[in-house]
Amino acid sequence: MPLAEAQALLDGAARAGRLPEPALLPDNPDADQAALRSLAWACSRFSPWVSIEPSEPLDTLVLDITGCTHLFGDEWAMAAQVAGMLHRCGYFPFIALADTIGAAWALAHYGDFVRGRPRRLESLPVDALRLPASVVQTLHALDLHRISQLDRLPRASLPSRFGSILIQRLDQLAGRQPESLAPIPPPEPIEACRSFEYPVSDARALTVALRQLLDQVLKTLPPHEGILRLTVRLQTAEKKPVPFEVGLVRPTESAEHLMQLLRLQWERRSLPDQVTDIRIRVAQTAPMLSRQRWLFGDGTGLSGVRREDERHLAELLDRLSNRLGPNCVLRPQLQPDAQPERAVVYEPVQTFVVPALAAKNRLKAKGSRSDRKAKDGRNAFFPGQQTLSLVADRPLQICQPPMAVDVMSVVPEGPPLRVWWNGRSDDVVRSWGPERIQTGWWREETVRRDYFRVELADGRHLWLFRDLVRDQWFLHGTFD
Amino acid sequence: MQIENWKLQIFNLRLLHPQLSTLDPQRSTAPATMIANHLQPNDSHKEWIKILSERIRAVERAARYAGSIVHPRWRPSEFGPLEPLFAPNGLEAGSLVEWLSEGWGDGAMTLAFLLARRVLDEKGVLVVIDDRVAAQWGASSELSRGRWSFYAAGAARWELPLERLIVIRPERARDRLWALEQSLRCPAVAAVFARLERASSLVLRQLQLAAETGGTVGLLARPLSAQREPSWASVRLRVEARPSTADGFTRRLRVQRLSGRGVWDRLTIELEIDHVTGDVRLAAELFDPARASRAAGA
Repeated sequence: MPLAEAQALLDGAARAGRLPEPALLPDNPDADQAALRSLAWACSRFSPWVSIEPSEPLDTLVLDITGCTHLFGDEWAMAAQVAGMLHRCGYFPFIALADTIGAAWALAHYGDFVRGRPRRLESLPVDALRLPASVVQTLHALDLHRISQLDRLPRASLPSRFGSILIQRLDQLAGRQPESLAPIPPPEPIEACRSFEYPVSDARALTVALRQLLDQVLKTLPPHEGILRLTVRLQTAEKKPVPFEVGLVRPTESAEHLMQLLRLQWERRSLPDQVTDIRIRVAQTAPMLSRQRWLFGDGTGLSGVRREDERHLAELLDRLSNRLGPNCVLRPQLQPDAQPERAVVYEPVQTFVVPALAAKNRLKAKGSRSDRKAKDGRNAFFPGQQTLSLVADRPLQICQPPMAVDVMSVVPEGPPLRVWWNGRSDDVVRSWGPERIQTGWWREETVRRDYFRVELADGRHLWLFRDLVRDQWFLHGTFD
Repeated sequence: MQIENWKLQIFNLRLLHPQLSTLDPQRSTAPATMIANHLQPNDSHKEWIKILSERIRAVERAARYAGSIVHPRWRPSEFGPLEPLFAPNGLEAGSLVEWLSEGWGDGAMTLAFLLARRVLDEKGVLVVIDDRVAAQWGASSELSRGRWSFYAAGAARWELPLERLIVIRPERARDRLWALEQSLRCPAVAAVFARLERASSLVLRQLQLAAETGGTVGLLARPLSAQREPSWASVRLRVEARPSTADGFTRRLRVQRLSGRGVWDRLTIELEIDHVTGDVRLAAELFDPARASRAAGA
């Protein structure tokens, strides 16, 4: 379909409100190839034999899963895990499992279900045979649209009419002819090391050596790639290596920035004495997000976020994560769980930002001129908008685990009237509730609670609950 | 006493702003002479203080806008019911707001987050330094033993966008101040909330400079004892929980402006917060017969 026709269709649908506004990305085969190669390498966790199928279009990974499926349960479980991994990387994969590469390719590209069962290979179109476009065109011109029609033709006449490729593909599809699989070579580790003639204890000397190694490593990075994770190992004379790991939320190729993050780590952990050699290794890279200094406008991207701000925020998160530790810099995630202490989880910021930026960088690497993922744009850095499913009255501070308190309540299962907390007793002048939360039976820890928001005589608001299982009162939060 | 305080502050400012040449006693300007002479406060001195304060503001403004950094400013009316607290100058990005309270369920943090919500409307992220262990003023030993932490669902309830919220949980005290200063200094951060029990004037000045550099609003929850300490905050507010008088789902908070840039009087308002709808409004003044009779001279 020509671009103009597709654009007209999509624009029409967007105006009618059926689809979001389309984003047009120019074709960039080199970036596609690089992304596919990195995905192939990522899939090597499922099988040691992963290759990129050379047939056009270059969009298929082939995994030889012989002897691997039991590690993931069964074939279905393994396929689900592969799909989940690719989905988390921002892709919507089509996965097929078959005895031959040809059959798997055909089903992944053209297979569907008829009355709940996969379509038979013979009923697939001839396009599913991985044939050159000219052969497919000839077959269509001769009114040969299905593989079953080819099977009915005299086999000996096929090579002379359509070339040897047709018979080869038919045999590969049926498993009559073996097909070899060329696994992708693992990427060469990007690392550098330096050994000292004598053990070194001087921090300045180590810093200079490390800086030189960093420069060396940065020169060997693939084009347009930046460092996302870097490990440094200092080997000491006592043969006990001291590792440091630097994680970033945004790829960088700045040796100065990496040195700054390493110094932040050294502030927490002192450098070892008697270092005999230093080895640095790039553990993870990602495409750099190239920025153009704005010629027009104020540098605000279409997403509404200043690109400079994104850079500043990434640098801040790098500094915080590397000095305080990644588990101290967190992003809250609301969970669909009624139990208050399980309703929010705090995840390290890096686990959110890195995949989001990787996906965004992929788009940029493909040459996207518009990143209209987020219409209001303010959440471009952190993906996903979070809202409470229902407007629940929740405090800003909670105690985990909840603190047992003494409460006087006259009516059985009634509201609290007096509470002993913080070393004193307070009258409850008003209370709102109960909000019954009954959940968790499948976790073997049934939670049955009646929550009350209470106002004390001096105006403070507390969040109390009566544990109906243990018949005990707890202070769970304060409305600070 | 007020004059003495002003003298101290003005001399501090002179040290920090060399442009304040008009306050140098050696140049024998009238205001500086008045300060040097230890005069007692009266009406004419109030006039002088007003003139002085206007000059300080003019110099500060000139110094601030001389550079390339011009931070946005929110008009008082943009804060809805909190408007009187920020009148007449509003709030400028790159400043600190102190919330003094007894803590533990008194609503100060809620008000700080309501202000943060307004600030976040513009851009950036909100950073919460969640370090309850280090800031437990007003807590008994029993309460201190609990593992208290910030609860993000409470922030979501006040429509704060969680996707733009970063929670920092430093494990050491010195990391807390470092993280606070770094966050304030970052231009991509719109506001930072932190509890600060004790902080020297030097530390607070450092934080204020960091906020000014990053154009960030620092929301500092502090104990009531900090009221006696000098402050570099643009606005200093004391929050006190009050028993609610209205029926329904409201709570009542009394907020007193202890100091503010360009304002001298202590202003007190009472707010009613509906914890079901999220509405915040000024509480209606109740008729107090005793106060009315006193006002009438009875």
